[in-house]
Amino acid sequence: MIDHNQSFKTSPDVVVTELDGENESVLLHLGTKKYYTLNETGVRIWQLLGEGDTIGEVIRKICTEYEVSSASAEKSVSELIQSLLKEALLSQG
Amino acid sequence: MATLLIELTNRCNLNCRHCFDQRHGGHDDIRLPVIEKIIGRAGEHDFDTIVFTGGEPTLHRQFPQIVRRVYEAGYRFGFVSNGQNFQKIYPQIKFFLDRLETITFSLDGVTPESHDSLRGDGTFTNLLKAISICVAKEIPFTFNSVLTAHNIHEIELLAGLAQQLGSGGVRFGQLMLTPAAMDHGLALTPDMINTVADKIEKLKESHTYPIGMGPGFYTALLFPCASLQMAELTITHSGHLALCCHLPDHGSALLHQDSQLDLNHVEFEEAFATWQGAVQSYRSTKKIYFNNRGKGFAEHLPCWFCQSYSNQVNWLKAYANTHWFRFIEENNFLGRPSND
Ligand code: SF4
Ligand code: SF4
Repeated sequence: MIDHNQSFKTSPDVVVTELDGENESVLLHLGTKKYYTLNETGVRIWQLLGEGDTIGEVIRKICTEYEVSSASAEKSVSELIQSLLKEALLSQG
Repeated sequence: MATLLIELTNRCNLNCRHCFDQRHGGHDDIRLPVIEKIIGRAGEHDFDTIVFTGGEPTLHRQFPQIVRRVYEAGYRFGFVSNGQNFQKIYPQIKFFLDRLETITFSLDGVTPESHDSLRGDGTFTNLLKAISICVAKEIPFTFNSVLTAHNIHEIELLAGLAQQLGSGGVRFGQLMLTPAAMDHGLALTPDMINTVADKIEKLKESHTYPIGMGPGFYTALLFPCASLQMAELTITHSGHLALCCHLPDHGSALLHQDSQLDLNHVEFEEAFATWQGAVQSYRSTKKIYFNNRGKGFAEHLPCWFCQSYSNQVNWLKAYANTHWFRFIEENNFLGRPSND
């Protein structure tokens, strides 16, 4: 089970680049020099986490903004968070 | 096959500390009829690649249209950029990138502090954004690093960073000697130039990653660069065929025949024939000079020779206490060398 009250910090070592008109962004981790591409939902989750939202708040906003079920939003959010944590793009808040 | 280097504009969105004096603080773009003249005929003279330079070439008001025209005419193309405008310009040129040779971005430091102190606050991050797009979209790019007294200790790190960031290679150039370079304490001394050249050679030997050395370093070759080998033709934002983009005056003092090289007034063929004659004549003069007397270190620094030969070093007299002035005085090589 994921803790809906958990919040995170996005790494200050990341340069985020939005691609105009393509609904995606590229993250470059300055420490590892690795690049990652996030789709539109991924970018939104990244933004919300960066603003200090808890997992529960992120899931609720994703449900509303993208009209998806809460189960689907929860899956997307938790999967992305796991990946971001693994790549040190995110840390526990 | 040969390359055309077209300076699209002398405008720039930066004001780098190491930029040529007054060269890139202007307001002028090359005119579209001049571009059409070039595109229409250059292919017949073996030019298959067009590289846009500036100032910042992406600031030309019709940059996307120019890229489209070059693309439609069948040329391969590339451009040299500081990267600050790429996020904005990419959506407008992305349709033409299958004929892109490479984008050459300027990288002058390995940290924001180092790069930005030459190019301005935030420029390092904006450059990383530009290359992030390139990596995500598989757009080929390389780096050009101008070595100055400020960043020569970073050569190895610059090569490492360029590779880690995914660029197709890095080329190290040296800062041309200008009053601004001296005033800002950025000019390399003759000793530094030698040390730098050794370091770059060692890097080249120890890396499989492409590392290049720009023109200007010591060489026994009389015609070491693409311009002097006549494999590269430079056209200035004012529409003139020129010798090269490294000289503050583009080499117009060496080519002499300004009006006959002006594409606003003559056809490409005529200007190109004049250019070929003028470069041949400079080559002959240089050959005779070396046969008769060219022996010293400075004369074997090819860009220095061009600068000196076009009377662009007399200003050094105002810097009498510098390495360069002393060095040049010792080598009896200040001002236009005579070939008699
Ligand atoms: S980006 Fe290039 S042209 Fe512009 S100011 Fe800097 S060195 Fe000069
Ligand atoms: S200044 Fe002379 S030697 Fe240097 S790149 Fe230009 S043409 Fe070649």
